[in-house]
Amino acid sequence: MSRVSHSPAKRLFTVAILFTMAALAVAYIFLRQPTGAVAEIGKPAPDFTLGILGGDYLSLSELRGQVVMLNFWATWCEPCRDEMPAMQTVYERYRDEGFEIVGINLQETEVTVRGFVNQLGITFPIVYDLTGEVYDAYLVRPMPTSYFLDRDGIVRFLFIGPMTEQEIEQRVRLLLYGTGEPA
Amino acid sequence: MTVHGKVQPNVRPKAQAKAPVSFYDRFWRFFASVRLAIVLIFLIAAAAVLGSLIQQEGAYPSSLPPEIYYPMEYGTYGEIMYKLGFTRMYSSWWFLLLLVLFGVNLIVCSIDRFVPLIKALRNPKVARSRRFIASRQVYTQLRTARPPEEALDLILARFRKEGYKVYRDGVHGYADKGRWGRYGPYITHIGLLLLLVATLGMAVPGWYHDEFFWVAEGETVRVPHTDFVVRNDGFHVEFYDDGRPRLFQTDAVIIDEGEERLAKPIRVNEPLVYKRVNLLQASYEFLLGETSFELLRTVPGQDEPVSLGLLTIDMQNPAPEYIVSDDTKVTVVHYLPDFAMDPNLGPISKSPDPLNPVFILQIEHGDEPAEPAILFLLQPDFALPGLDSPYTFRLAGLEIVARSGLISHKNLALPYIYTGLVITVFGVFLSFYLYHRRVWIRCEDGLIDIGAISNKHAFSLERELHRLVEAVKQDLGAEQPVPLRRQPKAAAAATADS
Repeated sequence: MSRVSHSPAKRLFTVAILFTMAALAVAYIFLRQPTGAVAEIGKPAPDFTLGILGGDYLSLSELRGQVVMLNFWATWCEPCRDEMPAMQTVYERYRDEGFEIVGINLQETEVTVRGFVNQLGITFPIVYDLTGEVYDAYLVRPMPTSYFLDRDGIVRFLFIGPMTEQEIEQRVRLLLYGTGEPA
Repeated sequence: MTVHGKVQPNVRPKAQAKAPVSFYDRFWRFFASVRLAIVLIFLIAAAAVLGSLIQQEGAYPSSLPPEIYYPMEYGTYGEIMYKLGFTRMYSSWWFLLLLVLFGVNLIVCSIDRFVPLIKALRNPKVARSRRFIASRQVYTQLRTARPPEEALDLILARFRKEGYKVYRDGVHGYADKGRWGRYGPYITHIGLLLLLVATLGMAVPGWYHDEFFWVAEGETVRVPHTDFVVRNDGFHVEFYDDGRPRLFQTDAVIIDEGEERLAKPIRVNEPLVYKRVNLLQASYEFLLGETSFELLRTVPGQDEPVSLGLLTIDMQNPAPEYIVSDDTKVTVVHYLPDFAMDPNLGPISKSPDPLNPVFILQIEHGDEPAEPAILFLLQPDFALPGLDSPYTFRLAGLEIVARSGLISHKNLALPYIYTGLVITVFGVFLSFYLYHRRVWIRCEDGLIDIGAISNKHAFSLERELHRLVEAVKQDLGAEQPVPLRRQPKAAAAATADS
């Protein structure tokens, strides 16, 4: 039970302390997220500029206007290898309609990546994430992880794990035409 | 009747119009409750226990994201736990809310009790009745022929000499010692609050980071979360006889805005500090650097293969082609750090680590068309059966590159955390080791009543009073008709406002 009356000064002091604590607590909860843009469905995909195999650089923003599949992979990741032929097939089928796949490779040497690309006959662009920053921005943990962006660069779908040809095609058609049924 | 030397009005103060209870008053009353503190402590403890029993995010052995892992691993329970935030117990909003509420509770309780305590201790009621004094924890009565004023003078002088603060009101005296023992809990609370606020302060951007990074010998790398770089000028490691590392250090140079600012070896437990960032030596590894092979070509008609020159590959950064000599060019078709054969694809790599490095090459020599060759690093002279290749290799040289594992660590809240802990310990020390002794003295009709209480350590109080009373008896030349006795603590509890 309150035993004393409180002077205005004491009230002010108490409220000031309590407010500071509350503010810090809120900061603690919300500011401890990674700084910088983070990929989220419904939000614009974080832009990046990475070295591209066989060229200079590729920026994600250059692909605005196309439906983009961002595929995070590595040559030593078995499920990534497994889904590559399916990706290549869908790519060839729809690239003239405005579909682009960007394979984002995690920290491998150019020699290894080029060898793999030639071995499998991949024709879609491959870029290198040498520092892993783009992986962090897209919250990638297991590989393969695929993000699908619409023509405005908004993240629409996220898929973790290897994809079948149907699964890729369905999403691509949805973003290209608004319907998911294969032709 | 006179109680406490004051006339107690037997009538209620003028009827107060029932004042509307302001929000502030309700807020204050709610948070001034010790019961609330107990409830909050229990909830926080329960949450902490649960957090130890439930597998937390970031601590489970899988790279799947939590929203997938928990339902997969634990079924419905897993999904519920995840949705409720039990899987990130210590960073969930409700756990922090509990902590904040507890902090508020602590502040309000402390102010609520501390202010009256200080006031009461500073202005003690000196004059007490004989009945009051006789019902204190420790009581004795002396008899002296001296006049009361003189007796009291001598007694208070004795107490003052023993380090007591003394007060006087006519023939009544009061002495107390060890007030700081009463302040102990409040000091502890202040320490804990400082600790809490400092820990929350770690959320302020720029106050805290902790990140591991690699820097190879000779390499210059940006220190994570900072705007300066560090160069590894050399890595040294020494071993004990049984193979354990005895010492490892990195000769590090900090470069800030293009200029070398600091050069210092970083050893385990001896970090480099620059701009309030600590660089700690955490790990190391040895990697293959430049590896050289003699390129040998079998020539029909000759027993021994001919050496065409040296093929030198930087294993950290293999190039797409190598010029071995004027007329020999090696093209790297594929490099597989951890070679294995896949039934569908052929040669693949099982992992990113160079556990079994294999190079698939095409070699052009002179006017000959490109011919295939395969280099197995672990066995350079191995010729793959079934591959029609005139080329073999012989290991010529090997370079080991050391990579130093450092941690970039910064925590500006640390000094406040330590201060908070020191204050807390100090408060606990005061609470346990100092006890607040209060003695009332009353001289009347040649009889001297001495009664004392303390907030803890009753036995010490008894011994202390015994000693003091013996001294007083000497000073006064008094007799002791009522020997010193210990009684159960008086009902008028030894609280601040008595």
